[in-house]
Amino acid sequence: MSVLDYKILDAPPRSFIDEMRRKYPTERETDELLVRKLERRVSQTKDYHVPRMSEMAVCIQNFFEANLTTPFKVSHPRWLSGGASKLQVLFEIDWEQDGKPRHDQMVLRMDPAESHNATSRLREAELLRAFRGIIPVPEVFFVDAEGKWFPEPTLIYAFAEGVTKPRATSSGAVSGLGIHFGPQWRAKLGPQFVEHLAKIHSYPIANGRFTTMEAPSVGTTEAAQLQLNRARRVWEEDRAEDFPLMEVATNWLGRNLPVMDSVSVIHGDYRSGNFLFDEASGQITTWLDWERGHLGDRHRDLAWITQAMFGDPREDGRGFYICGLLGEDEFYEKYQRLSGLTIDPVRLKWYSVLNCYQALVSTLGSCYRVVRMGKNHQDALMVVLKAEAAMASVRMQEMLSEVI
Amino acid sequence: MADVTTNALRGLVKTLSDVVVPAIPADDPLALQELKMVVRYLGFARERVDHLYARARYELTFYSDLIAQLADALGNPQAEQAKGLTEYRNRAAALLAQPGAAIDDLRNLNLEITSRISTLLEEVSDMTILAKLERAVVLASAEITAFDRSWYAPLKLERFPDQVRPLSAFIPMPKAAS
Repeated sequence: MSVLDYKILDAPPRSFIDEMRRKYPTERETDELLVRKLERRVSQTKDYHVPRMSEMAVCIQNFFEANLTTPFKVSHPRWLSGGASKLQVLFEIDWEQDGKPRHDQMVLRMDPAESHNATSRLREAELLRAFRGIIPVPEVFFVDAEGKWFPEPTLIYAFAEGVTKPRATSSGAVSGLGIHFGPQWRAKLGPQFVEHLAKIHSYPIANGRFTTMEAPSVGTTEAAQLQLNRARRVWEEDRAEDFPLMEVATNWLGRNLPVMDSVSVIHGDYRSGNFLFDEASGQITTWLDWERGHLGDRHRDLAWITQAMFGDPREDGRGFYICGLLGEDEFYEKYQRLSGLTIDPVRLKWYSVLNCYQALVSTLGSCYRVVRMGKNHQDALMVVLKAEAAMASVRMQEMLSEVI
Repeated sequence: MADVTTNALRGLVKTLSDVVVPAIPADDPLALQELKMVVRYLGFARERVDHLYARARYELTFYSDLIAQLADALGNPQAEQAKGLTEYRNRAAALLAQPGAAIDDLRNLNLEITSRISTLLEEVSDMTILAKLERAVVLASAEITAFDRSWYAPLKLERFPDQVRPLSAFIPMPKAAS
């Protein structure tokens, strides 16, 4: 593709979409989401505006009128911040369930018209339902998987109380990255953080009754190939320019695909900033943002969690606390003991490179395209995240220089 | 000439921070979050706007040097391909020597060069030569990635600020601005 061709990505022709599908096969649902993204990029751009709260309130009312058979009253809808990709509305509802009156605070979590991360609300709902009662997750109430009642696919779940960071810190201002917890909070939250991860990775996937995800074959490189294909495909679909280091990474990742020894549920964005905790009790109250969830190799999560961009520099100058919560050795030791799963340094390295690659795909490619197309509610955040690309590229260069 | 643009950006940041941010209703955290990001990016733009031309020159110089290295790595067996790469280097040298070269011309040639390098890394099938090319790109990229890290440092997302080199290590800057 020559440099001028990147303009076609504003309105990619069918032949381009077909070529992407052929060159980079992905999970079935991921394929559908990426095709939908490109088809709608063409058809839906000109008259788009971020939904107004008055419009959302009408959608909420219409949704419940159609989906509840008993009286209800919705009140006080308002926007929520947090996260870097979905529109979120918090509202109150008085309603009945199983003949009993209830009052709930619910969170409506809706895709923007184009996200820097095309993911599925139905998949997120399946994962939340699977882990209810195993680790703290919000109760799922409803899913509008096709965007029948709302402008885009939507998930409605229970609001969870809690904070993403101690109220006393000013760190973590951008999407909860780089939170400084300090020793007191590390001691309280660190053990829960690793215990919950161990439970996710050792969850028997047959219990999940997942309809949106297929398990890659154990003893093969399929899990790694699918993740690489997804990232590469999004890079091809979204970027505005080339970055030669990405080509080197693509080549190296493709030549060194690791074999998966057992399949796990992968959270996909397991880190500080994506759980809430109660400052009074020190307990994690909920795990959020399962949108990158999939079935695959646990090393994908492990490598994600241990990225420097989520870390907090140690007071002694020796590296950083993983997600601001645990020293590296402590994290690995506890994880293996609690999960009964081993850590393979070769796979950890491969997924570390892949995760940097994925971060660059999002921040250099997708964030650029989303802002350019004007179909998101967080354009300002998208442009600030460019600074993350600089850090991820430094890290990827360092890792590749050790192996190439 | 007075620093009209940077002064204006400074004023915008101050107005947004002191007047508009406090006026955002407490129950609209999304608006507040986005506004704070706007303030952050305007502050970044104020620090970098005077150096955009130097950045374009730096990037073109970097990638034209890299493509010349790759031409050397290809060597005689791929003489025709190597010659094509050298032509990019020559075009870059001519443009960089041209007084007042337009910033868009610098950027567009740089886009062409990065695109050519990327295509080259996809199309070379001889593994010995590919290994040389990849090694050259990875080693050279330490510099351009360090530059980018320095460039974006005013966005204040950097987790290890002490590892970030000053921008003046890469491009010429007046003392007060570095």
